[in-house]
Amino acid sequence: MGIQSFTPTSGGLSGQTFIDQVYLTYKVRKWSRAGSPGFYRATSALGKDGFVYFLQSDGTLVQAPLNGIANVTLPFTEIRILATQYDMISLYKVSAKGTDSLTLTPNYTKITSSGNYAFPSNSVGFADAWLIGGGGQAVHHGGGGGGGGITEVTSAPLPVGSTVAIVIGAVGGDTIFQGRRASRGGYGNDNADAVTGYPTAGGSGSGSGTNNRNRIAGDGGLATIAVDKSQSTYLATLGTALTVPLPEQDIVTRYPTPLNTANHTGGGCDNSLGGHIGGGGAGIGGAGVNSSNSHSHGGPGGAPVTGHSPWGITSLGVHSVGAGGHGGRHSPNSDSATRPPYPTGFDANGYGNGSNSRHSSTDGGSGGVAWIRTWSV
Amino acid sequence: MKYYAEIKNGIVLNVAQSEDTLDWEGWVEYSPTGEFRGAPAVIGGSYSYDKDKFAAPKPYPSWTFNTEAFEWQAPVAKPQEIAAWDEISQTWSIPE
Repeated sequence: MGIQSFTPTSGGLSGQTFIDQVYLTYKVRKWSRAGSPGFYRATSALGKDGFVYFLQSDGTLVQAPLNGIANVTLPFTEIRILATQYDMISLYKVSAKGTDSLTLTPNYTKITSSGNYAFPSNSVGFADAWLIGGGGQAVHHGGGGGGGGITEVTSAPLPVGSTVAIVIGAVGGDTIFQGRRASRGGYGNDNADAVTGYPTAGGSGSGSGTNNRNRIAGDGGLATIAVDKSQSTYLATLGTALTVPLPEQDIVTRYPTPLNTANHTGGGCDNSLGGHIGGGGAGIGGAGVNSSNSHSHGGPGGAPVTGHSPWGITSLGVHSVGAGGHGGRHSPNSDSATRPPYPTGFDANGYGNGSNSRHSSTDGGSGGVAWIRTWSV
Repeated sequence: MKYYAEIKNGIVLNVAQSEDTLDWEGWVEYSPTGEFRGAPAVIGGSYSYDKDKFAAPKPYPSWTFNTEAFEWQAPVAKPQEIAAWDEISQTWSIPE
């Protein structure tokens, strides 16, 4: 039996139709071969590398590597080949099924309680999160107000259908989601701690941000004292700016938002001789205010930041986060600050607000929150 | 709302809030007002499984830790009135 010649009616691979083949007597060859628009594959019999160029009717070339796929959008009149001499180049037309566009639907969930949360199985394996740490803890009897909690915008892998533990920071605690952490606000200083060695000094408000991480906001709030203690002028030091770049910062820049954090300092104790009056804690939207003998109360806390979610979804409402707590007053024995009106949303939608110092206790303040955005298919 | 502290080697690492009972390993419920288990838990404070009590971080250099009561104590007994500790004079300051 002699060797039979086979002329394939289709390619060796499904979805490919054999068109023609050419033998390369030269490394570079111009092949007069016309065709209609579509996907084409040119293969090497020797398994060598090379390139093919489809000359379209408008004079443009569509390039593809040998064995790759070329998307030819116009009729072509010629194929130029750059490959290995004595190779056999086969041309196939590749059929491709059409696809429909895939719409991902965002879903938003607000979580204010720590626990294990099961995520839907129809989600993509990726979630965005807006995390707010708990507000800073104040101390009683005239200490400084706590600082506002830190806000972080981040993204995290999320195994589909998984159950994830989410930690929502209480006042003085951090919020954690998938290893991403939003720090608590700083603690308010005790009224005897504001200036070492000067017991009648009021406490100073602590900055937004925590000393152990220096994340984003300043430490703030440590008071200084005049050499002549009788002058007793206390000023808050400047907050410590973030110095260590964190991966989360890159995420923040991807989601520009009015809820970005800032560096602010807690209030000090201005001329609070004998007053045991605390300064206000720093908010993420503004500095805490110094206390003063002209006040009948401690310094008001710094402003929160109010705005829509980092994702610009107005339907989620306006949120107020990261207000500084108010300083308290210990002596005379009045019960803490006369507070300015709470910022919008302090109670209803406020998160990460520092607590207030009072004569014998603390009050106010709020824990953190985690807004999670998942995408269902 | 319930409050829980994350404990590792007797040190408070974090504090969290939850509407439900958390059964996470290493987390212990505390009272933010000190109604049970000693002082309110704060990060950097301590917790004794034996005493089942929290203690605050050391408030002043001169204070010593009473392991029996599991709390910090001033060198001078605190008066009954509300008072602030003066570390320099080692006295309690009572508001006017």
